[in-house]
Amino acid sequence: MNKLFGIPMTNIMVALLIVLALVLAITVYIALRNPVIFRLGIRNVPRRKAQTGLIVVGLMLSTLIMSAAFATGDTINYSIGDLVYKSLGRVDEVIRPKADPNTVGQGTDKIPAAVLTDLETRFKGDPDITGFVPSLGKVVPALNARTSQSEPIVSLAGVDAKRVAAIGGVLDANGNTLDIGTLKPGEAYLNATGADKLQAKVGDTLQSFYNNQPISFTVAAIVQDSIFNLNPGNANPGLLIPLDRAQTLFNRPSDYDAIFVANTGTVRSGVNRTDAVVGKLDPVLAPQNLESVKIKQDSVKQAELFGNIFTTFFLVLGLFAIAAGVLLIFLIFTMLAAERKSEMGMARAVGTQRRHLVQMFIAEGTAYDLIAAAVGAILGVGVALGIVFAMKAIIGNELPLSPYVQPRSLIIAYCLGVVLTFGTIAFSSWRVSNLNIVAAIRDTAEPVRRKAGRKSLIWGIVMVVGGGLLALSGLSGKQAAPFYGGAMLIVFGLALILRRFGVPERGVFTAVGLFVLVWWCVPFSVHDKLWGKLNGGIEMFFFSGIALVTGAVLLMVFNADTTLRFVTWLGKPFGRYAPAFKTGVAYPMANRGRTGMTLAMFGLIIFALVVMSVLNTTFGKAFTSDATLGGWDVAAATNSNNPVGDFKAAVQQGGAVNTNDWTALGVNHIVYAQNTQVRLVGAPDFRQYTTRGLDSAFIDHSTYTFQTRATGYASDRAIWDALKRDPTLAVIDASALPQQGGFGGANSDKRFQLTGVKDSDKTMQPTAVDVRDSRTGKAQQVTIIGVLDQTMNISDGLGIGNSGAGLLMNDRTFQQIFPTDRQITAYFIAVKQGVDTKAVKFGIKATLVRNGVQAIDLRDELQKGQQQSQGFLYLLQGFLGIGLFVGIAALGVIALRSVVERRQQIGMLRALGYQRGMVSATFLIESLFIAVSGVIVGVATGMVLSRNLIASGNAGAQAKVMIVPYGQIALFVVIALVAAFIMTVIPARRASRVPIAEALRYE
Amino acid sequence: MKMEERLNRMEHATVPPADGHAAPIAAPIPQGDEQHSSIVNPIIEAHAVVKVFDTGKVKVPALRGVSFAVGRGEMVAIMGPSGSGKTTLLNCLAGLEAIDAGQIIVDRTDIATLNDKTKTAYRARHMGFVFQFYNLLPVLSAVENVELPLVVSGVNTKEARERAMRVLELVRLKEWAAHKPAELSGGQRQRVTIARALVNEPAIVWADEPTGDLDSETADEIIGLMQDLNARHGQTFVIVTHDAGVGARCGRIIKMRDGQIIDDGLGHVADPRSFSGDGQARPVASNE
Repeated sequence: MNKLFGIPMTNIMVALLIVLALVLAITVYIALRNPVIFRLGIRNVPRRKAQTGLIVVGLMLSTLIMSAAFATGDTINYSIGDLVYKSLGRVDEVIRPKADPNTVGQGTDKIPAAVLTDLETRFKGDPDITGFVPSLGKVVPALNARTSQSEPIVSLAGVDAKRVAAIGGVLDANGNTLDIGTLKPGEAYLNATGADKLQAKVGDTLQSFYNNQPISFTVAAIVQDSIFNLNPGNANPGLLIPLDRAQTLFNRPSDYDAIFVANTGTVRSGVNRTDAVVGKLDPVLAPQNLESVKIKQDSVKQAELFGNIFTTFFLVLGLFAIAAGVLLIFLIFTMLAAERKSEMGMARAVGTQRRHLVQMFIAEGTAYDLIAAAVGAILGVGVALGIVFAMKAIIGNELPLSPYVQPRSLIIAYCLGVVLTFGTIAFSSWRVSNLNIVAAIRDTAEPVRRKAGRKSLIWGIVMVVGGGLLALSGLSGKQAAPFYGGAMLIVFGLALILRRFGVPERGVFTAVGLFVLVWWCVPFSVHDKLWGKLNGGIEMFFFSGIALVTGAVLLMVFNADTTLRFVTWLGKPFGRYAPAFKTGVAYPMANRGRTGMTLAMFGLIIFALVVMSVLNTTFGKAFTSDATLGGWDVAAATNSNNPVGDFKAAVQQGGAVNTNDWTALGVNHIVYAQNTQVRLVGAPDFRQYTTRGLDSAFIDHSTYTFQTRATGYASDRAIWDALKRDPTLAVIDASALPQQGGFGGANSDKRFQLTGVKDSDKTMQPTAVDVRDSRTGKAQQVTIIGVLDQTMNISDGLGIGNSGAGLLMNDRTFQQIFPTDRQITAYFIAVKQGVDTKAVKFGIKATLVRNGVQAIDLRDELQKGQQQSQGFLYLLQGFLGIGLFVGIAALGVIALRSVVERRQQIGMLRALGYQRGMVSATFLIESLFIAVSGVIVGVATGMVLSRNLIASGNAGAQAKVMIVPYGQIALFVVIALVAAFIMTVIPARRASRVPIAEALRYE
Repeated sequence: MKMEERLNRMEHATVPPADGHAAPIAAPIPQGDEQHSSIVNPIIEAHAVVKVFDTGKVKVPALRGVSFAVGRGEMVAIMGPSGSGKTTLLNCLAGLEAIDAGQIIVDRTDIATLNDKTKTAYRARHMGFVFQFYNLLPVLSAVENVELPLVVSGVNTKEARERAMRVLELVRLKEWAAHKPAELSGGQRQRVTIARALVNEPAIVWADEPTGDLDSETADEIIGLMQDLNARHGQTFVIVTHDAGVGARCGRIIKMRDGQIIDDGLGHVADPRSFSGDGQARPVASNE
């Protein structure tokens, strides 16, 4: 991938390398300026190997997340790109009829043969262009009698034997070049995908049909998939024959569908000349209503875009784990400082400056950091590999994924990891170096400060003022992130100011915690009423998570006594283990800082997992419920090259399907977007949009619902009835709304948008649009009276509706606009209850195989989609779950440290009569208490945010009722708790085996 | 058995002298194992106890065949220079540390034969501990610290709280019951420790340098408190101390050097020849 958040990756890498150099320079400076201090820091690294190991694990997690995100993005980018290069081969551009939505009379869909001759003459010897290769093809069905396998959609393409060498020629499976000109009449090459689907081999006879006339081909060789038979990323079965035979067969002796252009260079380097080539070709092509499309460059960019989307998505999700990782680093250094408190106190007493302590920690931390980031970057690649394998399992063969990582990505992940960790270490070092020397020497608690120092006041004022300005800028710009961020800063700033004036810590931070919780828990509608509707993106998910979890953690840790009483009460039934409950909870509650941080780590990750699960389950159900099928069971699309005629009669005649079991048969006529011209009435420019004509039966039976209805239509049915009654009306799918479709493809410049209606709108004003055929210029005005619910799945078997059902109008109007030769016909069938829809699907396909009819079982397709989306959900949850390791590692650090810290107390407890099991239980209860509390915080806050998101429609208007995946949530909880338990077992056992007398002597 | 009841019985079993100290009931005893026979009703008996610390590189003998006895209700001080084995002896007697040879009988129970679980339960029921650095749990309040041994022994929480409060009252800390150790002075913390040591009505209270971390005035107060409790309730106190003043206020002083008892406080003094030029002590009660 070349960009992250719009910034070129190379720039990011250079900037990070500079910062890394700065980090190293600081460390070298410390080493040279204060070698003793530096050595003191470095010598701590090998002191406790287990602890060092745990610290490295803790520090590497953030880098691991980033490295995994980058490597996943690289893999997606590389794999799609690779597929593009493989499928396009040497083809860099395609010349085809111009598709300008503002020009009519264009688009004969044919390129005169003279164009090819002209181009070859003009560009002979051009340094950028190797050659032009014409193509002519049709979609036909094919049957292999030997294997009884049939395929309704096979591309039959003509290849120019003389020119095909320019794009690498026709290659057999071993890469040998074949001369298509040597094919005898009746022979054809079959591509690899076709051979696979038809289970065909050389010598097999394939039966095909064109214009309902039979044609036979003998397979002369199996050849590699090539540009003639596939779109990038979408392999079709294909037959290749010499171009002149195709021209004769299709009765088009003097024109082509497309001309492929091969640039000078290799498969990968040729694309660098695309801009130059297009710059030369377009002036020549434009007067002939033709254009050159940057097919390879666009596809490579699309691949990169997908890679970017994945990287960004994984990074944003990873932010929770990264935030938890930062807390862990802070925690680790706080605990290291606690461990060395006496040493530090002594050092300060004998004249060591505070900055020396900071330098000592930085020296030590940098050593951990440099190792941990390297480990994290490498392990991240391992995690990415896991993700890729999981994705392969989910998407099957649809996209062959090849693991790949760019060195640049690894460098960025490493540098980011080092810099982020260094920053955290520097801050924590500065914090821990601020100690009371006497208390440190005696290893007693820091003196309690009744009120905060002057710095607190200064910081408080800065936060209030800065927060105020930020909030105001958010309000004026209608942006949620700065407004809510500013508001939170004000609250925390006020808390610091109040502390300065001696208001008790507990009261202040309890109030802050409560306020933050209430602020984020009230329905968004309340916020909308108070501040107006503010715009926010996925960053608000992260932001709200941080705020909610912080609020809940503050509330918990500053009201420890209540929790302690409750847990002690819970422990009562456990008899002699009751004291273990008490001490197991009393310790974490007394250590607010470390408990709060660990709680927050667990809370953040569980929060993110819960929100993701709830939203995905809710939306998954919304998108895959039976209601989305609109009352239809099977869809069938016909092939215009082999028209069916009376569909129902043809099926009934075949005998495989009893059409008496059908309760409805609706017909859609569909025109591809590029043949349409659509605009809002009064708008200057036309755009393109897939358009459908619906027959009365389809309208009558459809139960598709609408997310937005025009005023005056009380129900969804009222809209359908109006559509049937009034041919000037239309409805449109939700992907036409602004901000729908996303990621560049759907909302491209040429795609029509229904501006003025938002995804969350329940009602709209009827909106008139002009609809025009791009070739004939015939136009009609229709009025859109509804936006189909985004969950509605109007499929048709050809994937035409994959990016949205389109603009749906009464077929009477549709037929007035679009010529029949441009129309594809799709049939929608509803069957009686109990009828096997799969049998209907297969029956239709078998009966109408000669016509190349493709049929799908809508429910089956829905379930496949559901399985895939579930698979991706689990994958993302798994990725997010890596963050749980942060919390678990934190528990391990705390438990290990506690055994050392409380050695004497453990000895005393054992002397008093604590059995070994009770000592173990104390530690286990302590860890589980923190983990359980974190889980409660995460689940509760996650549920609240999910509810608010769904209720407000901010997550999308499609989900109306929140569905809680209790099973999934229970699974996260169990995993978190079991892992926390396992992580504490060893320290707990170690604690229980502390020799009593030795422990009592321990200081 | 209620504490008061038990203490009453103890009072009848011992005859406090006029100065308030529980006097040894025994007459001076002969050297070696025979000395035990001179203690009537011993609650602690050590027979040729040996303890060696193995550091991996060297073996350091800490106790070299120590034998002595403590009578029920006695208040005994164990004194000696640093490294003489005082604390090790106390730990071994209390069952906190295993011994390498010899025998320790506490209240007719051979401590060494008990497994860890039984020994732990035994400590919970029969022993109390007071240490130099208090070893209070910092996260629990004074009363919670005091009631801990009771709760561990299975006493219900309500009764445990009542008894803990009574003992805190006994050490004059009732009003500080809700305070955490960090909020108490050194003397108050040590009084909480004493209260914790007594709350289970143990037969024996082990104290390791109970005044070591206190100023002289507070130390005096603490030792007075222990004397008072010993006199009133007849519990056996074994106190390890450096402080001659503390020793002087105990009923008997056992002196140690180099892992040996050199003076058992009953008139038996080790033969100076046993501390020959090699610095290696020979036992007071040797088996020779």
